[in-house]
Amino acid sequence: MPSLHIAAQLIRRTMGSRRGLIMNVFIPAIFLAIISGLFSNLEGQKAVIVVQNADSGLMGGYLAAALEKEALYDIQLEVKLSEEELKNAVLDRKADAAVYIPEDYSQKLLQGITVEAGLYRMNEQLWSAALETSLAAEASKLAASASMVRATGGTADLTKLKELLDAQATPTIVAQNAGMKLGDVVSNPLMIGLILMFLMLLASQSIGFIMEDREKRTMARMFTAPLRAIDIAIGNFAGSMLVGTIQLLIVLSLTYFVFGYSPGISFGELLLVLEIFLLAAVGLASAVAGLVRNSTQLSQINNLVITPTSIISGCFFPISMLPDFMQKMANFTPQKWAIQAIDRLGGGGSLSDIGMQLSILFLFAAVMIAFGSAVLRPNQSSKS
Amino acid sequence: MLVWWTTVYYELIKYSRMRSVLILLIGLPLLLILLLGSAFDTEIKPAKVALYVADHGEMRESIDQLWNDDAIKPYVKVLDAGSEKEVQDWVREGIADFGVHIPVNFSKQLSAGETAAWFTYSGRYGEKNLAAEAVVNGYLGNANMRMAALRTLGPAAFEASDDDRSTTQATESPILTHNLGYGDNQGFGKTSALQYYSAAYLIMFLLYGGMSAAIALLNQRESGTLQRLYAVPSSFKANVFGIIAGAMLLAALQAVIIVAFTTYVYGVDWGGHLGWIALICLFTIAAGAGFAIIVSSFVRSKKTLQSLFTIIVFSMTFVSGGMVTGIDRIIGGVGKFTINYWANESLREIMSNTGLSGVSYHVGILGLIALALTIIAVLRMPKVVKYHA
Repeated sequence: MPSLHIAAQLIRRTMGSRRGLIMNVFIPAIFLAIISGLFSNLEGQKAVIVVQNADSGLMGGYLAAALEKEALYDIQLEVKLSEEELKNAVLDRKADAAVYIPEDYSQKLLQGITVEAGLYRMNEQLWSAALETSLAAEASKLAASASMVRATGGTADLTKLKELLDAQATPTIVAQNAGMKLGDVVSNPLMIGLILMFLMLLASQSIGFIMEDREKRTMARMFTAPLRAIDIAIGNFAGSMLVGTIQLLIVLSLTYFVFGYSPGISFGELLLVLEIFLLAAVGLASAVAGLVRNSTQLSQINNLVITPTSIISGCFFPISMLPDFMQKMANFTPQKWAIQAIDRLGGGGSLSDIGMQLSILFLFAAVMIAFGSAVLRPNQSSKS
Repeated sequence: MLVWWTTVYYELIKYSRMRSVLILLIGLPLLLILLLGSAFDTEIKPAKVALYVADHGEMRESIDQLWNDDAIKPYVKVLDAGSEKEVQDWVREGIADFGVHIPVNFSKQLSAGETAAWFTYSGRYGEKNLAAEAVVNGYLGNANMRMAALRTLGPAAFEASDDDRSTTQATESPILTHNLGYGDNQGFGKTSALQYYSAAYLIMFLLYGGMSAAIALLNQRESGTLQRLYAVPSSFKANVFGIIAGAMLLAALQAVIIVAFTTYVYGVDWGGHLGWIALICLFTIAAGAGFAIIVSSFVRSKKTLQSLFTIIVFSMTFVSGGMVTGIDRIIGGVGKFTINYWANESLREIMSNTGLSGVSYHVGILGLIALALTIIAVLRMPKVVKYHA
């Protein structure tokens, strides 16, 4: 099997040297380890909301309690802070938002006078808009309750009011959240996204070596050996795949078993999806190689292709943050489909659920390799 | 002087013919600024809610009113689904961020006084779930209050309160909201996302531009053409500094194109003070070139220099917040040890128009860094240019 020798040679060239080993195996692994370390720090972050309930009556307590039901907020009840100090806490970034319930809140509500609780925030974002909506809903409920009690008794009857408010604590109409099993790779793609990016960089590098062979006519000289063109092509192609597979195995094992990262997918399934992605990445790199003159240009153009496509396909941050037209453009990148497939697996899907994504990746690989097969043809000289 | 100018001129001609280098140094930053600037732009992207209302009872009208309310439009975008399964599928596929299914017997159960429920399906993004839940809970809370009033106060109270309620409801929102911040996203401080990334990537690629000075020297040394210059009856130093100046002029051109392009095409406001911006770019280029020459005096091979310097610039950009904002909250003040930090800060201060005193402080430090790196680079220069040093 002459192809195997060619493949082995390619592996030696990418990972055999000290530099290759550091650049292609250790740096990706260390980088991923740092990222997964940073991630565990980030995960505990909730929006910190300081609540100052200066109200002497009972309504303020109900308003504050309504916020505590939401698990995504970290509510800190303060007693001593003035309104000015609350404002400063937000400005100094000690809190993400602050709520101030004034002293005469209950009293004014009971008399039917409009009273406003204050909300301090840096600016309007989706979560702080949600906070405002919840607060407003709760406050108008309290106001309505107070006015109803007033309407029945004529005066503000505190016992009746308390009865009414407590009755609302056991609701008859509820929102039942059906637990959807969803993967968290699409919403938190950095780890998988970086693995995909490193794989693409590596694929482009090994294709670069093949181009170098052709440029320097080493490939043509191989014909002096009893080799057919197909042997050389298969050898080079299998070599590129093997290089990627080895890097993948080392990096994945390190992140899985040493650093303890787990997206909730079995090692084998993840490897399978990434392996198919690798095929597409090798295809993409060889298609780009068909367009440029020499291997130096190839690495430069690949930078131009890999980084931007990784950004729009959602390798670094959730794709939903991008404008709509860019989300549609992402359909043309292999990374998007790999991330989607891994996300489905993480959500409890089986391999049959990701058939579409995998076949898109295969199709991508087939088209790209057809485009780029010129680069693997040994007897053609490079354009220059 | 003439020797120097001639060298600079021919260096520039050489660069103008390396098209892929030019694309990389000028095209890539412009592309990255566009992509990241629009990804983190200011607009709130509403949560897409897949909604299926099977109920056609008496509550239907108020439910429709809820979802068509203009007040929720900026935060929640309703997608009408045809069945419960479609709601689930859309949430799973990511077509919708949140799903709501209102069952067919909702009104009936409600009027019978039984426990009634809406089925909600949380999607992938916590923030969008929060926005959709706030709308759902607002409606359900209100309905609950009416039910509770019916139970505790009796139907009479309910009707009597209706007129009273209309007066209190007519007032504005019961919450007085103060927005303390400027800009749009906390991570970007006082600048917009586009401004933030324009500054970050201008600086990052200027540092790369500085690297081309060191690469040009190493290239000439490796091919042996640098040594031949000793045979020419002119100052060797003038030649070497001509090569470096050529690369720095390329970087200056890069800065002019990036600033002009972002201003006129992306509409980025650089905040005026072009003189200061030019000074910052100059210092950054000098620091980048000096740093690259120092690195190349140790590694001595072009390939190693390229990969090592790329990693260094990439890490400096990352640590100074050029890729993930708010990184300083996780790693502390490490960013201050980078060139990028001081250059970015001064550019951002010019953009946000907070007065020149802060700018001059940051530019001063940047200048000191550039000066120190240049001096060390000049001292290490023999190691770079001499074949047997």
